[in-house]
Amino acid sequence: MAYEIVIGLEVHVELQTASKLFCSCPNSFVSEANKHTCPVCLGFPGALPRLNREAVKRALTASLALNCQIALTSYFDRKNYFYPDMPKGYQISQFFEPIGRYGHLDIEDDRGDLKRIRIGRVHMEEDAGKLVHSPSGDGAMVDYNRAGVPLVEIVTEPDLCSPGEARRYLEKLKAVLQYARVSDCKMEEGSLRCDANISLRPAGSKVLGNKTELKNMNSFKAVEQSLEHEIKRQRKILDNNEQVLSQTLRWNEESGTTIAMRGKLQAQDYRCFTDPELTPVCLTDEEVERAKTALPEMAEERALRFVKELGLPVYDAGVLTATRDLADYFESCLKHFNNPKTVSNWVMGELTALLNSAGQEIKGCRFSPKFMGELLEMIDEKVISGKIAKDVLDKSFKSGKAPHEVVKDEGLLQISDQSELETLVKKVIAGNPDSVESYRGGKKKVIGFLVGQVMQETKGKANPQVVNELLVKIIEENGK
Amino acid sequence: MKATELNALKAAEAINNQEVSATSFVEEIIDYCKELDNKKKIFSHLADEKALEQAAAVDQKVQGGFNLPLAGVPLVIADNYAFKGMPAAIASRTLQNYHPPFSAAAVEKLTGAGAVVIGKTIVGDMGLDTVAEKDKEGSLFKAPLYLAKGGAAAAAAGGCILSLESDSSGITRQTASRNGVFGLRPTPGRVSRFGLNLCCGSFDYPGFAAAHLGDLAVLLQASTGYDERDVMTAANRIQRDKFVYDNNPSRLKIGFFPSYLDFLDAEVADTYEKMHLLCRKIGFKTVDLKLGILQESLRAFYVISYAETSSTLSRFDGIRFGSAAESDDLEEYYFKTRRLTFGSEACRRSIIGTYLLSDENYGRYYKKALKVLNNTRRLFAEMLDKCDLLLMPLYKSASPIAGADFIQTYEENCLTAPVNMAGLPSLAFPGGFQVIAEPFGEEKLLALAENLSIVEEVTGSNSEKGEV
Repeated sequence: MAYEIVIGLEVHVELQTASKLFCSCPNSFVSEANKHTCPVCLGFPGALPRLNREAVKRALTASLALNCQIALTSYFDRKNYFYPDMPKGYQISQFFEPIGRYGHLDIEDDRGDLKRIRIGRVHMEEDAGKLVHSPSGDGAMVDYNRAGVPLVEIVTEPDLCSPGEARRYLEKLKAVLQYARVSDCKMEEGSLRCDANISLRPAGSKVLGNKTELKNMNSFKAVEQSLEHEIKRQRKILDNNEQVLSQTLRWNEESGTTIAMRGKLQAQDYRCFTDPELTPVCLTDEEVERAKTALPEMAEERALRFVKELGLPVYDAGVLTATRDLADYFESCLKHFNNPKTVSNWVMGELTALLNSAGQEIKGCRFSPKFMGELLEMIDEKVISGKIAKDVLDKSFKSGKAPHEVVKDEGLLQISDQSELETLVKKVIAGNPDSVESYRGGKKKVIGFLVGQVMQETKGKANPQVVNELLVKIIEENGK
Repeated sequence: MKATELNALKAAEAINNQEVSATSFVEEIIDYCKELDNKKKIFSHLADEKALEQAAAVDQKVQGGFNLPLAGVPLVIADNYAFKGMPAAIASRTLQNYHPPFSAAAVEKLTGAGAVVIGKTIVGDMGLDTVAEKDKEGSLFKAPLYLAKGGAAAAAAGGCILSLESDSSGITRQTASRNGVFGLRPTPGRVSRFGLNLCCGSFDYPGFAAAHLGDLAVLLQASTGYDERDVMTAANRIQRDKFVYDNNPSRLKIGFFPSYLDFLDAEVADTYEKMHLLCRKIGFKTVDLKLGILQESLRAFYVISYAETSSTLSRFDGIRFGSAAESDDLEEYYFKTRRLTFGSEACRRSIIGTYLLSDENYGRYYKKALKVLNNTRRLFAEMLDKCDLLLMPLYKSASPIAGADFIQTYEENCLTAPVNMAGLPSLAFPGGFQVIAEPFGEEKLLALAENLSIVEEVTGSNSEKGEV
């Protein structure tokens, strides 16, 4: 029996604002529990929420980046339920009128064709605290540092048809939101969370089957795997002519299985109503237009531009635009040294290798675009050789010193002075009579070995081209 | 001169001129209040040391050359206001040992103007308008309805004592009037409510009580203003800060509602009619109006109030404060905790409010109530288009019905709750009347009331000044 797979994803993304959504507590990581709290985010009697306008801006940007229609007036509503990590006993969210609706994201389907995934809503809400298991094992403790952090919730229509599509959707979403500087979207750090809804139905049927909700996936891969697992499970049930139970399942990464969490026989009644302590969120047409024009060029457009205007190969453009920070870095380098291909080679090659082995990211990298420009100029003007340049890059990266300083301090200037080199060349010729004979005998390639010897003598600082020329000249001169 | 014979302004003047020290003044007042409290329970907490500390600070400032508008004036605040250094049990076991880590914005403004908080007055369960009922497990105080608001009583007792309370359905204003003092509910957004434990976000706002009009004016002026912790106060930025009122009767037109005479009891009806005639005599222009929406509005008021209260009270879950139960199961823990620590009013509103907001019922009750709310606002605005001020009675029965059940008590609020729904400022004065103006029209109210200070002639036989 062939089944159609129907998947919808609910993604929560933490907005990178300086403060929380309804108070001025810092929105940043801190290791001490319950440090970033105040009467407002703790729900003390008498405390009132006040809206962080910056969060609205980011939510607007996110909605626009996802091609949504923007609600110029939206409201905050209370979603009432009891749980220890919800200090007020309700979550302030947007139930009735979200800030963004009817958006979409285009991804590749399983055959490689372009497919549009509809996004039903994008709305703002506050995060809950975290439950931490007590070290003595006798229960859980609550940490409210995260309570009140601004989130956007992005809900797709059930348009995804496979675990692969789900994973590609998440990757695309991350790229878009990172580029828009809405969030850093790191699932491993919790700034992006994903729940999946999945059901199966006989191929061709118009009726949706019972769906289950999957939670607790900590990576895009886990989302894909949990969905694959669930498809197998549901298929088995349906093949046996039984009904799939509508429930919430918790994914267990280690065992690669799911465990039922609570009966989702009825959707929970959140008794939503508009929060009387907050005023409506009002946006003007001008604000929306401004946010639209301020939307940064998305990855694909940028890659296309790199290919068309900068003449980079498609592969290079792809690698360089993978993250916004890398693309920004690359373009900054061009301001200091305007040869795109050369810069691309060095950024993709040596620099990336150094970043990887140091476990660092391009953001905040000490080897600035200015330094990169300096380095490449020095090579171009033959102040140092390409080989030495690699060494200079390594030292500059690790020490933070500018390339020209490194060259000066370590005396790595390329030796191109003829007279200086002549002496060394003559020394090497004298010390390698057999090789010289071989050369004279017709084995021209031996020159490489002799060049190498000179390079050794100069600890790599000699200009290899000049050395080569000199060797040839002197050998042939003396050969007469 | 005895401290209690002065009004607040005179007291402040004397203290600013250093004729008497704030410390000795406050001491006298506190002794007086202790006596009062022995006779009839008014205070939930009478501050001894803390009050004298504040008074000493005022003295220092005055000696340093500062002139404080409310220097040394004794202020009592309802228990549902947070004041750092004083407990805020708010008549509930949930908050029995709660000491707020911050102070309410309005209180800060008033102490900044020199007022000295001498104590906190009793309120109903969680600050809700409680009814006279058999004492239930959770509520710490039992009191007949009209004393469940201690503030006005305090104001009545000592002429210079000013009271900061909260006004949700208007019982605060009614209590002030019954105690022979003035009560004011400013326009929502005029005074910051940060630090006021509110249950119903739509209707709970600060209110004041004072024995003398001039004192009420200073109280309002000192506490008005933008507070970044309460977004609603942003409205103040486009309103006048300075508080000036015009005393000329011929410039004001007052609206009356003759049809209300039908459901007022004889005493109240009689006084209302006398008021009508008196206003004409003084020289005000009057116009007869009709507003039939009171009953409908009242019911919508309680639907909204119950619904919102059930949500706002969810934060009392025993996790961060007031745990009372032991259980291994989370659901059971919540259940036990709230059952044990919530008083009957809080319980009733939570349970019924939850019902009203549930999926099946939201459309039938809450959504409809919101429509009535909008209608009420519109209709009152239409009334105020036809005149400058509205004069309405405060309650139906001259003496509150002791032992009334909660429905009967709610019915008494049919003349005040709709006004609160419309978001209008209202000034209650002794004798059972209120004057209502358009939003941010408080100065008009005070202008009128000054002219009606001879109202005592008409209503003197009704008010029991100083005794409840």
